Formats: sequence, C-alpha cells, structure tokens
Amino acid sequence: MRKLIYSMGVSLDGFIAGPDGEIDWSAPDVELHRFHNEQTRELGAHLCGRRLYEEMLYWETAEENPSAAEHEREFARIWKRLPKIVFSTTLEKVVGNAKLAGDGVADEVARLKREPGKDLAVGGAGLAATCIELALVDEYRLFVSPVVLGGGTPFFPALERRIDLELVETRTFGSRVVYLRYR
Amino acid sequence: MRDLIVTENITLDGVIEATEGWFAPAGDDGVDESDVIAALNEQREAADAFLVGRATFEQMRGCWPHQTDDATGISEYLDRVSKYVVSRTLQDPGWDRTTVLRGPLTEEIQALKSAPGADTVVTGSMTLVHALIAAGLVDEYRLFVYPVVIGRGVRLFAEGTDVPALRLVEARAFRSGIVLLRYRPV
Repeated sequence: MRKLIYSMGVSLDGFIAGPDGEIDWSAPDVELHRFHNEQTRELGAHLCGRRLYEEMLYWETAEENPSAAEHEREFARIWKRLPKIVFSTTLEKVVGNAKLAGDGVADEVARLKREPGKDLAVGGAGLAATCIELALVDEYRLFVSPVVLGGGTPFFPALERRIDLELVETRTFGSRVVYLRYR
Repeated sequence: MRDLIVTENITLDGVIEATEGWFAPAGDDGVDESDVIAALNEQREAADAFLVGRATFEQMRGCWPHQTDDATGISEYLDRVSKYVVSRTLQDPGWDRTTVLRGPLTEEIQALKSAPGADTVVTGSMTLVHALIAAGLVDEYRLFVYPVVIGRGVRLFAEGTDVPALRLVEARAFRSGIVLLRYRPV
C-alpha cells in the first residue's frame, strides 16, 4: 500500500517556519536540493494545504527564469508533473497539475492509499497535523538545520498520545543539515 | 577556559522533560544499547565536573551513592567527580565532593570555567539549563534524540529563546534508533 510521507526542513527547536513565517534559514544547498529533487521524483501525488499550494506556485514558472540554476529547473519540472491535491475551504480553483479535494482528509487519504501508485506526501504543518492526529502518516522525514528560532509553526502538533518511531536512515548534508528519517 | 556541555535526552519534538518515562524505549528488552553507553563513557572521560540544578541533584543523590554493584561504572564516577549544584536554598549537599553554587549564575559559571580542569557536563536540570542558555553560557549541546514524539512537556529551547548561530559538530546514529547531535555556537 502507498505510504504517506511528511517531509520538511525543521529548526533545531522543531519549527518549520519562524514567528513571522521566515523560512530563509532552511534554504538548501545544491546537494540537498538535488536530494529533494530525487525524493520528489519518487512521489505519486502531494497533498497540500492552501498555504503550501500557494507558496509552491513559484515552481510553476521557475523553469522559464533564465537565472534559475539547473537543479532548480529540474525540481520545477518534477514538481509541475506531480499531481497535487489541495485541501482548502476558501480556494475556488487551482492551477497546474492540481485539483481541489472533494472529500475530507481521512476519506481522500484512504482512497489514495488504496489506489496503485507511488508514495504520497503531505504538507504544510496544518494539513500534516490533521493527518498525524488521524494516524495516517507512515513516514516522517526531518531535515534539521542548526538554527534555533524560538517560535513559529511547529513540525509536530500537540498530541494526546505519544508516537513511537523507528529510525530508518540518517544523513548529513554540507556538514550542516541532518536528515532524520523515521517510520 | 573549560567547556560547559549541556547533554540531554530529548524527544524528536524537542522535549527534555521525562513525562511518561519515554527515556526507556517501548519494548526495549533486548535492545542493544552498548553503543550509546560507549558514547556516554567517552563523554564522562572528557569531563571532570558535573553541574546540576537542585531537583536533578536530589534525584541523583537518592539513587547513586548506594549502588555497590553498578557495572556501568556511573555510580563510582559520580562519587569521585566534582559535583556542583546551583541552589540558593540547599544547605548540606550530603554527598562527597559537592559544592553548592549560591551566587549570581553568570559569575559562578565564569569562575568554574576559568578554573583549571576539563569539561563540565550539565544534564537534566531543566530550569538551570534554560538559565544557562539565556545567559549565553553553553559551549556545546549534546542531544541524544530519541525516536519518540511525546507532544507535551518542558522543551530544551523555551519559547522566545534567543540562541546565536550553531555549528553541527557531529551526527551519530545508534542501533536503538537514538541519534546523537552535537552543536557548538559559531
């Protein structure tokens, strides 16, 4: 069965964005960017909340930017092709290879997991929190930057019950970012 | 100057408080922890001073000096290492080689760091650690990241905390799924 992956850059104190939404601290170097490209290539679909969908619209036209580096153009190609399912109560239409989810999260994820295909990913933190609370997330991938933000959007929501995980893989990028993969 | 090392068991969501005993991984019978123990031994050998807050001190005092057949050597180590307790209220520490630090924190810690000696290790001691972080006194963080998300409890880095840029010194994975992450201020 397809697995649902929650993968994001996090600060050392567990935030995916700072108190004012800052994410510049998580900008990947070339090696890490290429790693993200390969991981995204392995996906069959990406579930997005509205904010992530809107942030990622940048990639719909990034390939046309003459000053974009080759690894950025490569990501743009991969991202544009990837089917996006957007969960939003306010958006009326979406562009690119995206559609608005018809069902609630639980039903949509259950249906997607039953279908044959490559793995699924979910982001940002709000939609992922819903998936975590519904016990739908099969794998967590944290890219830990050596930065303490002091506040912001947490990667993990507050929980009623602990989650025990198994470490699958670790890797260090550029002597800075530590990739921790759990299921 | 001696280094002040904050070493903590920490959950994947940044909690250092031992809520629900998450330190012991669920179903850990038979889990090989020899590599974690070896890493802790390395750290012990490089340190000659142990700094704690009052609550942690009293917990440790309650267990350690009475273990006569402790094969890990931790009991014997804690008995002979120089122990420092930050407390304005503790009177008689009741444990050999223990000094109570009653003065302003920064002064006491600077004095400790300026004295000749090896590393000083701080562990547990959530309130003290928050104060050390806020005062910019930490030279290294050694975080044993457990493969567990606990969702609540006191975190290592409090809300609003202002920590300068850090540099990754080491990332080491252990057989049990614990990952040691070491960071130093840039």
